[in-house]
Amino acid sequence: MRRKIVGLAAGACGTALASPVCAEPITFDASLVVTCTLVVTDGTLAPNSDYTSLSSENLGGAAASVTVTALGGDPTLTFDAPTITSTNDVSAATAQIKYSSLDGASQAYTSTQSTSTASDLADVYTVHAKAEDAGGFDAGDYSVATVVTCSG
Amino acid sequence: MFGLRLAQASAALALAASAGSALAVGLGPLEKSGITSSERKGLYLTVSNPYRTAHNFRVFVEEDSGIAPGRVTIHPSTATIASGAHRRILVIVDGLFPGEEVNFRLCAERIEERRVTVHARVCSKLGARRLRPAR
Repeated sequence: MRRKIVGLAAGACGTALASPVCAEPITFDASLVVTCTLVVTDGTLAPNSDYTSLSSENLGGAAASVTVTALGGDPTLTFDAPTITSTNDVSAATAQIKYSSLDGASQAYTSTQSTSTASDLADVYTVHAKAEDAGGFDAGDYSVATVVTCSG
Repeated sequence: MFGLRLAQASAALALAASAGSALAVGLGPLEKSGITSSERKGLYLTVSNPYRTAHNFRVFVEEDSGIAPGRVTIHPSTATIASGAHRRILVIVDGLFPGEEVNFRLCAERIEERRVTVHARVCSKLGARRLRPAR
């Protein structure tokens, strides 16, 4: 029964005299969900002249980068407190990070957790790290690390 | 990630430094919740690998985020995902009692084969609520 009615309506629509205007809706559906993708490029530390500072801003160092791609919302980026590890004793050393983004986020050097809101579809954060020890660093391997978390 | 091998003290600026490499992880949606009439609720998430090669990823319940990890089953909790590919993850919350609502955070990250300086992690807020029985 229902099919017959639809058929009649289609017939009327096809006849110019019976129905001069024939409209059918065209619908585009979308279900937008918030997603976040992080792409991280590592940085490099380099020492200063008296070995009391290891920094990505010293000559020979390089910043890390975090590229955030967020769909459907403005996620929050959380940078955990940085840690320094080494085969040597680093108990006297303090690790800090700072970052800035193309969209204007900015954080001065800090040794504690910090947060930033990614306000655009894509943003790139430049992250610097440093560790300082007034007594100087001995020869060995050193690593400053942080965890960056993207969350809704 | 920032790495450094400090060599001889006399060669302060002539150091061997690790080259940069890319790490990546994607997860969505960042918020999801659902209602159930049973003691279980399943939610789907998608983990993506935007990295240029296949990598192993793990999905886990963040500690102290609102639920005992033992009440959440993740299928699969670890997965190898090809470059540019996505993997759907089923998250099952178990043991819901009538009227209970739980909210927690589920995170995805790459399983690192070495220590990295900036470790990337993406976390979703998940929620599940069990309806009260009809009177």
